[in-house]
Amino acid sequence: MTILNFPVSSNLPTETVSSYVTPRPASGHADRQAAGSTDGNLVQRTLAGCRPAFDDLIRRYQRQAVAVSYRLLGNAHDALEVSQNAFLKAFVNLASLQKPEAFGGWLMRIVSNLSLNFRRARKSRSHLHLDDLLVAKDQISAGGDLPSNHPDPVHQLASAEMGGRLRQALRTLSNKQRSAVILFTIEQLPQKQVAQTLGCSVEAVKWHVFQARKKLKEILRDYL
Amino acid sequence: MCSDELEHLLTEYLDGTLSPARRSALQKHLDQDPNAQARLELYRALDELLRVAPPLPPMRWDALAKQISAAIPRSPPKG
Repeated sequence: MTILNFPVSSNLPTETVSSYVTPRPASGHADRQAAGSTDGNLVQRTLAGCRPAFDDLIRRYQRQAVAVSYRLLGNAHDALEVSQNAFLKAFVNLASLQKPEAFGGWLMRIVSNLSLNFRRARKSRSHLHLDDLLVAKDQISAGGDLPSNHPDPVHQLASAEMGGRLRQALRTLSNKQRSAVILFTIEQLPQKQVAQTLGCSVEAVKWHVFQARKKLKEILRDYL
Repeated sequence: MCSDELEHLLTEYLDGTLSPARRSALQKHLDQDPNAQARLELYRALDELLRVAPPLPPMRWDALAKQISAAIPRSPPKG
């Protein structure tokens, strides 16, 4: 199995933010059961030996984990690898989580830290079967499992260009500024959760987000 | 009010994190200052841009969940 190297800034039709931030409605019995469980319940059940409970946490948070990592790394393959590693790390260290209800914020902290470490190390790629996880272009046009939001090629091209410009702009920020603006402004996590994730105060989050926005506003002025 | 202070307030206004009193005071300022209003709109446009781009490439979420799950031990985590 080869690892795909297609550019993330491809003009593939894409999901809207809300489609991965907002949990999808439960479809099966297991999903309905998980939907009624709090993160705290699922963590406690996992610690008690109920492994499927952790699968529910994976389904609940994988989109947010991949989205945060993708925005920090700018590469979908790396984001998938980091997200898998983050869930593994979370599972192994689950007993050390002081507040089971805070699983989401704790996981995002792991995702952020691993993403930033990944950026520094740029270690060799693992052998995840990534090709199978990214929806191919032809499958999308043929009605793949995700709808096209932008069928117009001109719109796709403009969106891809803007996406590339934004990724460049995000790279000019410090790690704290980038993480803060990604988690708060883009992923719309509560400031308190962002503060927990970054290991700083809410006031510091506000400051980092402000500094990030100020820089981005200047860099992206032509698009605003 | 200096430029930086005003811009900080404008972003907090957008985030809905200002106290009612400060929000009201800023609203009055905005009503009288077209320049401040224009800056507010610039930040609003920036937030909208940030939230739509760069979007995630389409992914097979069910397959990803299974792959992540397969990489995690079946035995419970050690306490």
